[in-house]
Amino acid sequence: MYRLDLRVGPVGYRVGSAWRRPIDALRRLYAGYPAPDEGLATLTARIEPEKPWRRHLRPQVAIRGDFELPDAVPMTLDHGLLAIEMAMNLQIALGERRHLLLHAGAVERNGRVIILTGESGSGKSTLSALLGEHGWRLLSDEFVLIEPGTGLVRAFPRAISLKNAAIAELERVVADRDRFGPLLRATPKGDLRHLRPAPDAIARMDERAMPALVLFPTFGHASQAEGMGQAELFALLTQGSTNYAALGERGFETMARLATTVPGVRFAYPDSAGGMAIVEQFAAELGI
Amino acid sequence: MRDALPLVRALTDPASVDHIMPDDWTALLSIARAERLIGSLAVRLKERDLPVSVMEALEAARVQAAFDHVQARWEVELTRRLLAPLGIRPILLKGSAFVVAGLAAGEGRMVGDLDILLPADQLNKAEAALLVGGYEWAKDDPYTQAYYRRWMHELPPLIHAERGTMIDVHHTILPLTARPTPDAPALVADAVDIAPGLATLSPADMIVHAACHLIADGDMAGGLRNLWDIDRLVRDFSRQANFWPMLAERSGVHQMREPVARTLRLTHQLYETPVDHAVAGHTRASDALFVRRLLSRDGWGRQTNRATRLAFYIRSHWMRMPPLMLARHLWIKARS
Amino acid sequence: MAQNSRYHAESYVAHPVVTTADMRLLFHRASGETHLLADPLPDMLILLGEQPDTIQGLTTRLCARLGVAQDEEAHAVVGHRLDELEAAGLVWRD
Repeated sequence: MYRLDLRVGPVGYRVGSAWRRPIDALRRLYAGYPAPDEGLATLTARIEPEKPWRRHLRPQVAIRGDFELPDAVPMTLDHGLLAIEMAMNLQIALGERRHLLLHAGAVERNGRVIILTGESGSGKSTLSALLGEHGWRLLSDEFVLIEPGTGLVRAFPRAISLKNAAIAELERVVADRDRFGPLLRATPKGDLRHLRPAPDAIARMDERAMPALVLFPTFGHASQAEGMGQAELFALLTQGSTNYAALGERGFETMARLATTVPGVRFAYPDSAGGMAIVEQFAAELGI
Repeated sequence: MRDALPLVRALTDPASVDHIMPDDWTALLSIARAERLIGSLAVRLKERDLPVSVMEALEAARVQAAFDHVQARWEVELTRRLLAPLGIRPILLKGSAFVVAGLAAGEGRMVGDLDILLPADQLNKAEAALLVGGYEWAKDDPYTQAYYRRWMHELPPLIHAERGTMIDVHHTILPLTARPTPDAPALVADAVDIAPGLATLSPADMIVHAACHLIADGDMAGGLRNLWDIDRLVRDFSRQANFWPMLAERSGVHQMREPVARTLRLTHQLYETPVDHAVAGHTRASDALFVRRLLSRDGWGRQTNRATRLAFYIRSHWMRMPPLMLARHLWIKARS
Repeated sequence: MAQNSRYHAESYVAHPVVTTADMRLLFHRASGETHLLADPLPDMLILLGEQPDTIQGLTTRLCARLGVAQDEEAHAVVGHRLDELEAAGLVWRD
């Protein structure tokens, strides 16, 4: 096994690969990330041949680790970096039990956090990534971790998965080419390219911050916004959480506090510039 | 790490983790998760002074176990509500039994589907009540239905349409095709009430049932967890004065003397379980093969020794079915 | 049978409850499930938690508590809501 240990926010990973190339790509992509605390990784993600005797001949890459899905579809070795990324994601989606996990992006400014959530295709990931290049600190583009007890958001700044049109959009604003991974064509998710978050997102990954607003964007419509009730916000957030139920009463307390102290707003936006303008307008109203 | 021995050692002797290196921790956590023993490990190491990140990982396992237990208790309660009006008292098996009865074997243990045992003559009534109560057959094809009803020790699995939870309703503890034939009426007659409308097997029968699982049912995958159950159960029950004579008698009644003896030797060898050697019998050469199979996991949590694994798989099916039926079963499995 | 059987509920104060403008969020410890309750479900749970009751008896107590007239419709509403609460596992019959 080729191996790389690294820490992203509160998670110390051990990543293993039966092939060298995907680990080398991962090492380049995650340049500058810290090692796990005390050199001790507590969560393992791996990729290995689906069938051990086919390690070299058109190998099928299986996504494995401490937590596994029985029916995870194997991938081709050309997409090995994506497979590793998915294995790392899966560990959090299935295994995280210390923080309330929202399927959402989040950005911070002046110590206050805007959470962007909604179904895939809503543009939350792209919008989070763009805000991260325009004066906001990116906390995460996909998984938001909320600390029970304090209600604070913990950053989880994994590499961002840019898909299809979002690739060119970020290529236009990110000058540092070293932050991009290789372009992966025709993956199960379309064309895909990873982007390492901006340096401050990595340097400040242990700074927690208080949620101020939950946004539910919808991409591709004329600009429009609408508030929602606390019960609706609560219900939508629980639907978008992979571990709400498993956290039991602590999950309930944490989620209820978020839904009753932070406003929730649905908004539509026509394009990325329009989306960012609306977010800035909300931020101004909240004094962020 | 070359095998799962460090996990066995950490469970048996928690102080053994005091001086292990960071890399060994990483491997130990992966192995414990793969063996579904991470919750039990978390319980065992609760009092120790551990690296912060390890404590956090184990706390996560405790949270998961607590959730499993809430769900397990709730499934039991909903089943009780369905069956109690018919005068049916389900006998809880495996994880749910350990948790609801408050046994040490339940502490930190992950619990999956609900397994209950009923007297054969209550089966039809219970089945009807469960179907009315929202359960559906997981597989409703004629072969599955006929196969289970003719040869198996349980109804075909039922899934609740809304909750998605599964219940296995047993009328005995081994398939009817298996060579040993446990005395099902005796299992029911000796069952112990643990709460209004709920029971478990008697202590000795619980050990016999766990041994069935380990030796006769399955390919020994996950065997370390089954053995850990047995270790905890034996340590709990052997405080009762007549436990060992009772276990000797019951393993005879259920035609399970050899598997029970083997199970006790294995749990003694791995977890230092205090056992009565009159019941456990003498070490056999093949015990070493079982131990090797049980420990076959590397530091990444991957199963090793594929050859032994296959041999055990064939062996387990051989024990459960006479050869001709085995061929028929494998043939139909291969086609579906 | 349904007319005469008595419905039971756990004591309402045992549940963690968060009140929002439009609904109450109730965490049910026994099942680990969260329920969003609109009126008059919380009142029904409060009353049954104090004392198990039949549909008829509960309808009478609920109407008195809410200060509304007790009629056929009230009886039907209580019956339907009890079915929902029973399906959610929050009430059960003896």
